[in-house]
Amino acid sequence: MDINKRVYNHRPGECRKVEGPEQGSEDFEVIDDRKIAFISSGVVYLPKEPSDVTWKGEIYLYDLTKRSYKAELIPVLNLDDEEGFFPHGLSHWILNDGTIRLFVVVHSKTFQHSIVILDYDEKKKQLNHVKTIKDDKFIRPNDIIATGENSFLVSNDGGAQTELGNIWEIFSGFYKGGVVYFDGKKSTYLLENNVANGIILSRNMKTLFVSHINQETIGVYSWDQTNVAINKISEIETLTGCDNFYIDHGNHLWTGCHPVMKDVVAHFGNRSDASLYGPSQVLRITFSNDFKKAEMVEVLADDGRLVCASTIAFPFDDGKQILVGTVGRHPVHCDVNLKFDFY
Amino acid sequence: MGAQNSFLHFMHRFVFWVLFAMVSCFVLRVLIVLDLNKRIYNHTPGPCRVLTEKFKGTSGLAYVESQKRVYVTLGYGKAHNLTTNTGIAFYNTNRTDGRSQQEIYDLIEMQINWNGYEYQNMFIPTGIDSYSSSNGRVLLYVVNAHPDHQCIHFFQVDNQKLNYRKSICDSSFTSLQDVAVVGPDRIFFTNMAAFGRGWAQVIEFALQTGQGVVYYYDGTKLAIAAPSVNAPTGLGYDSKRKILYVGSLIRESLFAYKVEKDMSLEVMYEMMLLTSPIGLFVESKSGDLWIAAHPVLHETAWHYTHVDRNKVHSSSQILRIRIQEEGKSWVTTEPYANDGATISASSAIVYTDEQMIIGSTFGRLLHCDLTHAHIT
Repeated sequence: MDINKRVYNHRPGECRKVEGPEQGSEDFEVIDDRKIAFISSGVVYLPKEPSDVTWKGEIYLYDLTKRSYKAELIPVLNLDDEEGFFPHGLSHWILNDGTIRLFVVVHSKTFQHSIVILDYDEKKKQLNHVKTIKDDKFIRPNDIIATGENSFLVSNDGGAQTELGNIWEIFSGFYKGGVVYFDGKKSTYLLENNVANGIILSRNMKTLFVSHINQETIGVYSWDQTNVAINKISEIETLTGCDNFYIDHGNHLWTGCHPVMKDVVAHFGNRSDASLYGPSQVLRITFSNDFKKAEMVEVLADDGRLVCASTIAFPFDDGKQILVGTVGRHPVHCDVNLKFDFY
Repeated sequence: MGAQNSFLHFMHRFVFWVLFAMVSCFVLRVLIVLDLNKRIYNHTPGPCRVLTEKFKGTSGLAYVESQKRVYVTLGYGKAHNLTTNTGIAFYNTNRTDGRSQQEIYDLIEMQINWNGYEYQNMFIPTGIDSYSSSNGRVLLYVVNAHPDHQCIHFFQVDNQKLNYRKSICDSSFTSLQDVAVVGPDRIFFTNMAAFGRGWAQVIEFALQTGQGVVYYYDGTKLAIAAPSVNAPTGLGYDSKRKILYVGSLIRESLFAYKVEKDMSLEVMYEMMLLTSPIGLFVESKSGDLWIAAHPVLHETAWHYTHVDRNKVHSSSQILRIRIQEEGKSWVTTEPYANDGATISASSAIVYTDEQMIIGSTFGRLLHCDLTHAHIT
């Protein structure tokens, strides 16, 4: 629980709060060639009671070419269950006609889980519901990676459906999460009895990175989509709770982490209490060619007053700017005036 | 007989559980101090470069505002049986005095005129501080960490030479670390542990007996200013506010003492850093504190007991503490951190003119520019 740890603040340059998603920015999905990013806001996680959820689940859009520091709310149309739409992990696929298809991990107020597929209408600036997928292997989904028009990888970050159950799971070490592959019709376990938070594939789609957040490690696996199989390559110890991932054009892994887990747990326990905040950390991880070793640069660290419980970060504008997302608060947009290759 | 047996049985069980609790507490304390769940993630505040790696140690730094010089003690590794030259050098922080781009980063080694001092061959400098008098005279006070000759040496700066003046030596000096100047020939200095080196010192630290001492010397008499400090290391003196800061290696904290008129020390507060401070620097204008720290203590312990192995690194960390509301609160930032590959076991820090100079226990001297000094 990191009782002997704390965060010492530093920033890569000037930082500003992004207006709009006040109830969280748990995941970003960057559409590189359109220079936009979708933001999931208002995640519901192990709610005690449905009435505790006093916010709305929303999806925002941020234009990476402007310095507006304001994200735009995008309406989501034709949902089966509008009241039960609380987005978590995001991923996308570009269809043959150029349409952006969003894959969204969704929870309801009663913590029911599904994967919602939405197509983005660029002209009208709206998301149209295509399909909702439920499966008994989506135990407690967290993050998702689209691998085709209708196929994806999804991570389960545990098996317990209640807060008490989750505490037991964490302390006992008997994890019921893992990684599941859905091929459009049926689902297959790739990783079982594990904890998997953020997941991402390398840009060449051959390597899978899995955040084993409770063990403070990152698992590296080779991914064979044809045979629907993974093989473990290594497990990198980070000594910090890394959440979601982004792979940049230089093949560096970017992640938002929780360096002091006890403070994040306190913050999660009462999301609306502004006096509780979780420390944040943004790491840029560079792997060796065989993926067995990694070098880590800390791009940003904050005690929680500016960036509260970071989950995701990514660079843009040739690495001169970064966006940092958080579990339950606003995202932060920073300039980067430093070099990260100093060995 | 039955009653006596059951009483003895109870006493055995009672003693067992008390001892078990004591041993468990001890083990837990040792585990927490060792920082087994910590590591350093690299970052810099701007471009950095190595000023020197000729010496096994650049462990003490002192800044002289009137000369814009940083004085560096060289060769501390010799106290741990490393082969290295020892001495004192200075770095000129003035970037606009007409020197070329190459010359700007030169370190000037100083010649020492010992005036016949008989122990000049037993000189292993570490902590250092300075006093500038109104007539332009610059005095340096240097900790000698030689195992057989622990002393504070007094020098006067003569351009690129040092003239030896006198020494304070005492048999109670076993592990001298740092010195802070409060007036001409009036100094505080730290003795970190009762045992000077090696496994005896490691065991002392593990037991956390707190046998370190802060001494005060008034020009003629030596006195104990603060007894029983847990592993006191770096010293920093804020002359404007009359505050002496003392780092604690084992408590991973910083003590702030008010220096009274009679030079006695009154504890103001303890700042929990959760990292082990080694060197301190006080910005005289703002009162802000800079700390060179050993953030992962098990790495440090390994590094200090295997000094001859180049691959046994220890992480380096520089913190900046912005003091607010006259010490009622503060904001901590981390301008620099490194896993030991670039600079290992940072032990001293100086900040001036958006430049940072970092000294290390057994290795390199690093210079960094601060791209955004106001938010770093």
